[in-house]
Amino acid sequence: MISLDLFLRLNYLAGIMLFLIGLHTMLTHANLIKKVMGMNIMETGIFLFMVSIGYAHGTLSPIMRRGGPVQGLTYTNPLLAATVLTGIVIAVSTTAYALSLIVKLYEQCGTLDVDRLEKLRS
Amino acid sequence: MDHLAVLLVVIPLSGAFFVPVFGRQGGRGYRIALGTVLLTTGCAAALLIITARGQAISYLVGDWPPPWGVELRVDAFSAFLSFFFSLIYVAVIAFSARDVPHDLNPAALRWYWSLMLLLLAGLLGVASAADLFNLFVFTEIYSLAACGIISVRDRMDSLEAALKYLLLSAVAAGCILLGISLIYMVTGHLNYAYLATALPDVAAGYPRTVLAAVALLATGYGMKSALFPLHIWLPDAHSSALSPASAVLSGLAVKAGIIALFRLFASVLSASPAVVRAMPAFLGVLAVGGMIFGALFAMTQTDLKRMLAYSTVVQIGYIYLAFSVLNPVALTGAILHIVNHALLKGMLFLSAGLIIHRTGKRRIADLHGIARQMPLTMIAFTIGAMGMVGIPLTNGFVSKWYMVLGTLEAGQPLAAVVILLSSLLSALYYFPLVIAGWFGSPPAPGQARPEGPPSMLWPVLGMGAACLILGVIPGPVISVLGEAARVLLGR
Repeated sequence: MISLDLFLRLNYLAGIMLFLIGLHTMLTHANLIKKVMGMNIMETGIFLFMVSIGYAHGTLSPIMRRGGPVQGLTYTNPLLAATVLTGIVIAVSTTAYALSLIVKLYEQCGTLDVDRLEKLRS
Repeated sequence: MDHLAVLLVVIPLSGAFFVPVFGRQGGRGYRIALGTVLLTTGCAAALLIITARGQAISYLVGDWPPPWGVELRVDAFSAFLSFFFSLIYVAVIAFSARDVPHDLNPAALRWYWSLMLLLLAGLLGVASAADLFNLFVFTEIYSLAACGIISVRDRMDSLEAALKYLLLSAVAAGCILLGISLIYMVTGHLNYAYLATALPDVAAGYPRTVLAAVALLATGYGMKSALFPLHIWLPDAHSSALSPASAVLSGLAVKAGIIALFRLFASVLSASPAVVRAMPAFLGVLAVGGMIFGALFAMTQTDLKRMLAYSTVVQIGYIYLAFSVLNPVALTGAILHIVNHALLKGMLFLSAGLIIHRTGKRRIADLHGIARQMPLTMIAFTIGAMGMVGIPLTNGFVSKWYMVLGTLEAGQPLAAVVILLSSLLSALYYFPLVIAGWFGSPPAPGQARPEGPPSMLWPVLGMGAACLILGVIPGPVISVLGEAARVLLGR
């Protein structure tokens, strides 16, 4: 029963796994570009998890006519979809900003390796 | 009147937009920024007068009703913090006018003003957010603006510090977002009021999910507010930024995480007994770690700004420890310490900036006899150091007094001992510096330099005067704060 449950919620599990893989990449790799990639994997995992939570099986998307919701139909709560959308915007801008910082650092120091940057500084 | 609540965020946000558009020439960016901050302060003062009587203003953005819409809520707690935060901003912006153009090229200057205003908008937004969605967005606004302010100074150490801050901040954002989605998963709401009604039932049914969500939120906001083992980004970031930017980052930006956690705990999470047991204990242990180890690290620093940065880690520990005993008196002390530390640390960073601006010295060992060249600056620095240690007649004494009283009242004498011990340790790294500055002999006599220009001195001295006033007559502030603490503990 547990295995079947897990199978039905595979997307939840995948989301958390991606989060952990991304986190691990971010914290253990010395290469700055790989850190940014880890950040994106982590965020994608969270978005997958949130989208999975936000959709209730068998419900309609909450697009309504002027009269408001139709009686007898159930709609998905759009809250999490809106949050994910905002989260994606933030993730994209964070990535762009991080990459531009990395470009500038590379121009000034000629390396992408965190340990060597640390040595250059001291 | 209700529109004031949203104006508090909209004014600095639109200022951040107008500065780069209209502030291309010389001093215009500065004038727009100063005007914006003054307007925000007026708005916060009006809100403080309204809410100090115990009334809260709730604003529905776009008039969408709560379960779906975005809500801003200004009560005594957020109005009090917003007012003092924008007041400190006035001093910092005024100080920047002369200091920052030295370090930045004119093209980068307007982005500096813009980012400062964006940071203020994010901070005020965090203080007044009433749903998790809003809270997350404002958290990200202020975090990105804080990273930007560090990297606007286009030098290798600043860029590296900004990148480190950005990456750790992204980890924190990930934790926060996952925590929010776990809370939504079990309750189906994001609005604080709806969450507070839904959570007690849910916490009984899914205790582990709720605890996991709280752990993620505490880790995320702990990282943003430099709670002890998660503080590793702070010394680099705060010491490599421009001095006025360090004042704002160290005094105000790290507090946003604390404010968010206080608010979340008070209006949502305290509905679950398991969380009330686990979360303060978790934060309290880490706070003690920060108070002891932060002080030890601060003692070994040779760079003035790095020492001040480590001192921030210690003071953050005080605030979390006072919060963790869950006592109204200690909480009054904690909220007062948020403001007091913002004033003191802002003043310390500005006077350090003034010393660096005039003499170019930033090593602690080079500061012997600095008071003979810059007595007024050193007076401000001394007030700041005394406040950090908690000498009577300074505001630092008042908040530490309340924190110690509160921990004793809550039956936790060990916490009171840690507070006193850490104050003693603070004296060990602040007083040698002050004594050497006043009584040490300058290395090369004769090169007497005049004091900094008045436009940089008055913000620093004004903050010093505010510290002394808050230390001598704390009564009015305490009465407003009592209301804020009641709001927070829901009594």
